[in-house]
Amino acid sequence: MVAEAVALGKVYGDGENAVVALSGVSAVFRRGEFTAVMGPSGSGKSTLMHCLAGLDAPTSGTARLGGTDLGALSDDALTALRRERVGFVFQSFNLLPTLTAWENITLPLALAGRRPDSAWTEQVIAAVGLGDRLDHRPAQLSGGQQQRGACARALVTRPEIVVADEPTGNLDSRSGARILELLRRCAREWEQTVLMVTHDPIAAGYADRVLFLADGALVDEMPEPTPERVLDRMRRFDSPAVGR
Amino acid sequence: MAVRAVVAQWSRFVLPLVGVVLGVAFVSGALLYGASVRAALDRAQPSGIVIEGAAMTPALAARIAEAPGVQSARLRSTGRAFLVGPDGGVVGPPEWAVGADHVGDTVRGHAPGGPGEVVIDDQTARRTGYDVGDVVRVIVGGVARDARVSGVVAADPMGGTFMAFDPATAHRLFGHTAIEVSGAPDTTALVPLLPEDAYIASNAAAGDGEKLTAILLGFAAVAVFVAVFTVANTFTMLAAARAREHALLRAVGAARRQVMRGVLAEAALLGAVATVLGHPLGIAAAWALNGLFGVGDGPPVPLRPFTPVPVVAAVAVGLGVTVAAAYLPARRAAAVPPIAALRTGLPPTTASSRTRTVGGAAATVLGSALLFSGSQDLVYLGAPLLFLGLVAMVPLLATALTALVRGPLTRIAGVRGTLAAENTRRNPRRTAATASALMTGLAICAAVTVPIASVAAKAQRDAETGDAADVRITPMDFATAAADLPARVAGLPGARAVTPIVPAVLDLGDDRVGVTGVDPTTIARLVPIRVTDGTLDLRRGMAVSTETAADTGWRVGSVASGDVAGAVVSLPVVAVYDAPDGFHHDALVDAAVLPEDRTPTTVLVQAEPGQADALKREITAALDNPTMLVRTRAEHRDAEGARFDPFLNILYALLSISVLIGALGVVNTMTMSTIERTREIGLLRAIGLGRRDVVTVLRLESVLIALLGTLTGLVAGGVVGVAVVLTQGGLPVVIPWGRLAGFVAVTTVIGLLAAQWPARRAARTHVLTAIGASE
Ligand SMILES: Nc1ncnc2c1ncn2[C@@H]1O[C@H](COP(=O)(O)OP(=O)(O)O)[C@@H](O)[C@H]1O
Ligand SMILES: [Mg+2]
Repeated sequence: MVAEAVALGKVYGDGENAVVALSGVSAVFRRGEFTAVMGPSGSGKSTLMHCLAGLDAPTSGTARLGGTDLGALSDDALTALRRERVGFVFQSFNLLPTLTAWENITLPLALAGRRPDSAWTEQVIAAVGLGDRLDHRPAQLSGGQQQRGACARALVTRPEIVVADEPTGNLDSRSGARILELLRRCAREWEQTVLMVTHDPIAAGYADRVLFLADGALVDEMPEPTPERVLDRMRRFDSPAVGR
Repeated sequence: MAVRAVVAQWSRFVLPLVGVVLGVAFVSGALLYGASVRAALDRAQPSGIVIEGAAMTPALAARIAEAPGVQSARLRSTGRAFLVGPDGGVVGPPEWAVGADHVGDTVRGHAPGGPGEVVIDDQTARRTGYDVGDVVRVIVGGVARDARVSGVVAADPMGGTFMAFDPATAHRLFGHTAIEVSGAPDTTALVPLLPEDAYIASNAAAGDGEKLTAILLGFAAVAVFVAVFTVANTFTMLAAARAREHALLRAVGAARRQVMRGVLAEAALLGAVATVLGHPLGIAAAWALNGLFGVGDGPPVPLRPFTPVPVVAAVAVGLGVTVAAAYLPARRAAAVPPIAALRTGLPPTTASSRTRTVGGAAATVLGSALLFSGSQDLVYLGAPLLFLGLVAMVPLLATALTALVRGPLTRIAGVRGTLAAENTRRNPRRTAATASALMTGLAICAAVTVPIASVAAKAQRDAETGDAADVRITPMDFATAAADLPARVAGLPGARAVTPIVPAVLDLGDDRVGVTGVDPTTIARLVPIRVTDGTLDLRRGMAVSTETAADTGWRVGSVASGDVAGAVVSLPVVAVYDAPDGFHHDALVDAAVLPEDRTPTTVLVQAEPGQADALKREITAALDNPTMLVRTRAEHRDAEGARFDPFLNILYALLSISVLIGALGVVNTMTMSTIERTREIGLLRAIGLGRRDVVTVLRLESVLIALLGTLTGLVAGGVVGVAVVLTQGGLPVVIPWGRLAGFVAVTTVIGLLAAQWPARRAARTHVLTAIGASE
């Protein structure tokens, strides 16, 4: 087990304005497992991911990463944890415009003051296919190349978990497929634990399992998903709305 | 709409506002203070007509009294008189210490009844605590004596330290120096009555008020110039931040003109607020200056803050300059194409334009050429040209220099260094505009520091007069030494040898030769003179330097005849000598042959070996006269070198306003840049940049900008300073590295402080909010 959510709850604001984003979500993430999180907009997917990655603090319950209780960590310790034990891929704006692709990819290592492990870094860069673009700045890269750069940066520290929030949300389907294949490959070949938020059934089809969230609660789990079965399951979220 | 836009973004306008407020305040303050000084000088103008000159005699007074319209003509005796305060020092500024014959009424006590009595003014009485009956120490003509205060008179409105003596004493001390005329005579009718060297006194100081105003306005102009950079930069940054908003306006049908007018209206509002705040601040500054540095040291003339000129100037600077500074950015903002509304991503960064760089380089080269052409007038043309050329090139310099420091910074500060260097160069124009504001103030600092350091170095070198004196006595500025000073010092047990240095001029009719009076018995021991011909026996005649001998053709045995201060003398040449370097005197004579009113400007004294300090203390105690400066050789050299420090410090104080406005510009740029880069900072925090690292990156960036401005400014100013020194033949070029390093240290601190607030804010931003922030 790499990461774990135990009765995770998150409430934004208080009193009348309180918004419940998560209400008692428990889940376990195993080593080398590629998990997709799905659910309607506002169901708490991002919040769950942020809590597990040390970006946000839950208001109740516990988030653990490799046995560390994130709630017990100071801001500095959380920063170090994100730097060394978590890899991030956001939907957009993943790379710093002033740095080259190489500098962006090795940024977490530079932040930690570590020298890149050259064999591993080369392997990652080869996997994302940016070997001939390393001197380029993000503005000179396509959207797909930028996201692949972000994936490489997420992998370069061999983190315990890679979290990706709708990594293909801004990409055309071909570029998106390349990212998803990459994420699947790093789970299968390198035993990299991956947690991906998406609302695209095709994207979810690349994962080993899918967690479904609704109104901040875990409502279903699907092993060995296919796009068709995921789409089916998603329709059932919508049907009550149709009936209303 | 402009009001709403400004109010909504007030935090972005605060710093440029402060800059313009300071500029307005500086201009208003300069005008008001200048006007007050002028009024004070006018007030100091004597009410009646005063005739001054060398030939003030009772006969002349009688003749003038006969002239039509003249009621009375009274001979007066006035001169320099110093009062020693309870602390042993001279009371008040020495240039305003005056003694005179007593006329008029006392407010307490009675008029001085004899040589042992003196009257002082009531301001001096208040300041020193002296009053009727006290015995005080008075110094006139280098002679200190005790006198009893017999009365107190009303202080002159100009202030100063005033002492009055009974007429006979005053006449003995000062001679007859002026004739005061009352009545309403036609002055043109008086002129024919006057002998050649007498004249009707005019208020020579009145022009000083104008000069002062002009100098202050010059420094105010620099501050305003710097504020222009800050304002223009703010509006440029705002235009970038609001490019989408403007594009949207254009997309829904707003004309370019309307967008531009909107931006200019904001500038006008900013300017109006700056005027309203700046003028009162200027009044306060002028009021403070008036209190601190009034004319003389009397109560200041009240300010008249709402006279037209300062008010109009405040509006012109506040409103006019702000709108003018915002004009170009407003035009650029209006030029945003409507399609930009649909684009995402950061605003495009403008690289430094080629024409700008080429033009800048041309101006720099031409400016340098003019500076070093050797003509003093061309320096005034070359300096601004060089400066503007460099300003145009700063974007290029910014790109080049940051590329240069990227590597070293990365090695020192890791990826934080890389990020800081990259941030500095990502928008070279913005960096350049910010740096240029600082550059302006520092360029002028350097441009004044280099010449003054050179002049000070020369003064220090000149202080090495080549003599062997261990202690020298010189009167302080505005004071004179007593004729018997050398004799008194010679009488002290610790003084081995004493000679006065008494300057005089021998007028030969067609030529003039400086003749310096010294003591014939000791001069050879105090100055290592090498006699090349004849014998150095000044009791028999004059010794001339080899240069003078060459110029005049005199040889041992020649006789020089001419007149020294009105007295005809005939001096045989007894020796020709080579003097040591620094001992610049044409000819030496026995001080006794010079007229009695020639007093020594220096007295050189030789001590027993190793006893210089003891001798200095002995002389100081014996003279008991604070107007005589008694210094050892080293003290003399240091004091000469430091003569210009107070002047330099006043210049720095005036320039500090400009540097402050420039520093505010750095804060402003750092604030705007961090707001623009909120998402980026969020991303960095997410992937593991610590809060303290965020602060470090922004501090480094800020320091880089500050140093860019400082270094270009110091180079520009230094070059101008050197050029100025070179036009003054005979001045050594001295680059004051220590002071320049001090400027760099100060601006480094400014850079660190400028990042303080933006960096704190950036470090505090919540990671998720930042990532979610729209670009
Ligand atoms: N910073 C916040 N303040 C208040 N409410 C928030 C905040 N972030 C998220 N929420 C709310 O929490 C709920 C879950 O949000 P989120 O996890 O972003 O959902 P998802 O990623 O599934 O769309 C939503 O109702 C959202 O409005
Ligand atoms: Mg989301």
